Amino acid sequence: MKLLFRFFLPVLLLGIVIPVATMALVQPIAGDLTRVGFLPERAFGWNAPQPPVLGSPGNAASNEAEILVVGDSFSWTGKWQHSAFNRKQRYISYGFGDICADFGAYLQKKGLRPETVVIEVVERMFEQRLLSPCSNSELRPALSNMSAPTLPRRDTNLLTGAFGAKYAIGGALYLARPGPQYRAGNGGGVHVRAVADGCRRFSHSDCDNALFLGDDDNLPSLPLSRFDSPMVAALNAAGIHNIVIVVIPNKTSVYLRSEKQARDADAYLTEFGVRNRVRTVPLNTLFYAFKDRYRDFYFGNDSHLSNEGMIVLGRHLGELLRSQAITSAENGQ
Amino acid sequence: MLFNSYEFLFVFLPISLAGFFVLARIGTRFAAAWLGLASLGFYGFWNPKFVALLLASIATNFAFGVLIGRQRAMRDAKPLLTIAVCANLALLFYFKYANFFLDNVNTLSGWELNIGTVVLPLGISFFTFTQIAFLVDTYRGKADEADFINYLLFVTFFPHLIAGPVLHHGQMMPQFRKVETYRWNPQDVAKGAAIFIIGLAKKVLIADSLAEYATPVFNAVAQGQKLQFLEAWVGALAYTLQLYFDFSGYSDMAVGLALMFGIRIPINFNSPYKAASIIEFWRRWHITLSTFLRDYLYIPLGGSRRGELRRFLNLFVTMVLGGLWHGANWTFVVWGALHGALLMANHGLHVVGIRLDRVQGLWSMPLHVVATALTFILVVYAWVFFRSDSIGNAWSIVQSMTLVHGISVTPTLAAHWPQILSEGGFFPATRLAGSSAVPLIAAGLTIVFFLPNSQELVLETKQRWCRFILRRADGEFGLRAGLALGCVLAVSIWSLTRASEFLYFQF
Repeated sequence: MKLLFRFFLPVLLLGIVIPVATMALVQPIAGDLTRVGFLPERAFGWNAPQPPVLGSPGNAASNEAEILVVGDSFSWTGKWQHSAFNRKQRYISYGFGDICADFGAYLQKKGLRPETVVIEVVERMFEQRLLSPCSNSELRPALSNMSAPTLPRRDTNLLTGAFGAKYAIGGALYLARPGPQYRAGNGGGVHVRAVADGCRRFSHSDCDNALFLGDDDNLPSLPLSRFDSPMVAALNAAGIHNIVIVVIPNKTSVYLRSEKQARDADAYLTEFGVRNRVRTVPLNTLFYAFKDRYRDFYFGNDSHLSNEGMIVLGRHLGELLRSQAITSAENGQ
Repeated sequence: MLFNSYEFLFVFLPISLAGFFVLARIGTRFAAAWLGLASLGFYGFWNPKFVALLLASIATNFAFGVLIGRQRAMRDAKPLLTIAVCANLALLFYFKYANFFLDNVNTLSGWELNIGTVVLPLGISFFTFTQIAFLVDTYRGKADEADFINYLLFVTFFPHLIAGPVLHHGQMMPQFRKVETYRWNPQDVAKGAAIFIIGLAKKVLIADSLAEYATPVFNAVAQGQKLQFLEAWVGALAYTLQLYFDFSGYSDMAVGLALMFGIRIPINFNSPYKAASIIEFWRRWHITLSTFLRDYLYIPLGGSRRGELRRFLNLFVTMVLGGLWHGANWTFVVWGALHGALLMANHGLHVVGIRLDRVQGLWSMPLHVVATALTFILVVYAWVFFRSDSIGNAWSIVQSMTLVHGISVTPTLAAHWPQILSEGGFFPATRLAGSSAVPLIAAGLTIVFFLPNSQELVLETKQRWCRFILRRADGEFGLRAGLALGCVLAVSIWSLTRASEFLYFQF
């Protein structure tokens, strides 16, 4: 009997009852918006099956890569790159750092000699990444490498992942939310907003609503009024002229704005390309249509594209890049 | 079904444990039959089709065992033993080695022989070897089992069925016959639960974390990348530790589960990386397989009875076949051959009188440290062949580990150390996150070299701090043990978001 109280009860209570209770009451958080907003996965976590997708941020060493991808969190997983590039296309991906006028020196230091640079940037960061002047004079790593997600991340692992965040107490906060403009967390917050035809476009339980990043509203979205890009100038100064700019539309732009706004954004990007002598990939009109073609094109609980969205994006970009490369070669460029 | 899965922890284990002790009150035969059936259910959860194969194997071997036991003269029993052993090996050959054999024949001859994809039944190497040992010992007059339920339980007992330890009937049958085995013993259940929890934590928290640094390195080489010095070592060390924590974690869970049912099964690991020689390593690593290979392969080959040269040859052949037992790939053969060669060298040193245990005094400790480090490094190099999917890829990693492909270190190393680690500057091919890989590997090395193993923790508890946490003055588990193990179990269960298979399931 003493062993029961001394050993078995503590083991059962601490080791079984508490973990089971936490898992029963709250779900592990998978989306960035549910995590930042302390909102329940049970309401916003996607339910329809997603195609598996491999993440491959690169298939070549720095000095062998023909294509350099510089991107943000949409590129970190390497998902769209895996769909975009075939084995013959030697590419490598880097994350944005303090991109600056010394871009060329940094590429040289890293041993990078790309023929093509693909700049991927999410719409809300376009102004900051592409249009802001280089103010950094200190030589610091302009690009930061990305870890290759070769295995599914087990984010609950105490030793490697964000353990605490997985069991954030989101349920009570969500139930007590004051209204559709409910804001939670910090850093711009997360908005729960009604989506027209939501249950056709999303698979999560509370599919009439979806989560959107507050920064989609707080930061400038396309179209903008300025066109001159210090970053493109820095790349040109480094001798790189084959530049492709890919702007991923904000989730808010795709689901909550009008088709006209999407067309205006694409028109701006086309103009931006002409003025800076770079190739741009207008995606706003396309994604506006894709949200009806693909359920969970963006995840309901996340600000990023779903697996399927990444695959579609990768295929689209891959076809585009290959066709333009062929066109360039045929034109003798 | 995996030990590290919700369905096992929350459904299978409580039901099988409760059913066992409730039925034991009615009769021990009911409890044994229940455990046998539960074990078949455990096996069938993976693929019900193969339960029939397992049952057929058990029934056939039991029948041969009975027939062999009935023969008065060994001469009469020998044909029966030969048929039975050949049948077992044929089964193993078909499922495990047939495609490997045909691939090699096709390569050499240019033919295109094909038998299609053969699904490898889980645990076939383990239950085949267990039963061959039973047949051989019945032939030798060391075993005589006429109770089918006990035999069924001996082979299928779920803690060891899929990945060992390789059990010997002499260790198990007497326990199944004893009435005390079937009595609820809270001390045994507590100790078993403690060992199980430690094993679960080793698998879920440590081995699976290390896999995230080992796998990309070996995958990168498989995709044709050339590794540099540091990332090759990170990958090799991560896999060395992953394999130990994975397999020893599984074995701990098996030992713990068995003890919860009142059954004592032998330990399989005894801090192998603390070994100061290859001979000692094999006395500490996968102990039950080493014992099996010694008793049923090395000694029948002649052991050390026919002179030193023959002894060395026997050692080498045993290790090569032991390597091949792990899988149908030349990499396993090379791994076995490497260990065979190292064992021969180690015994050769003994023959000429060079033995570490004879060194006394001041030099004893430093030599022991050097010998331990050297043994560990040799074992790490050998694991590269064990893990790689081809000899060429393994050789590429070995070259990288030996600086053939260079080292990725920048001149600004000192100034930018944290940044370089976090950016994967040392790991150009895999772009591993060095900032988390290096501490994790350092933690793993600290555990394997300096901390007591799970048996020492729970059963012996020599260290003072272990006694403080786990035991009271009277030697029983105290409240601190309950709280500590409860916390470890909670963290492990929270981490079970993705059930990952044990490495030794493939063998």
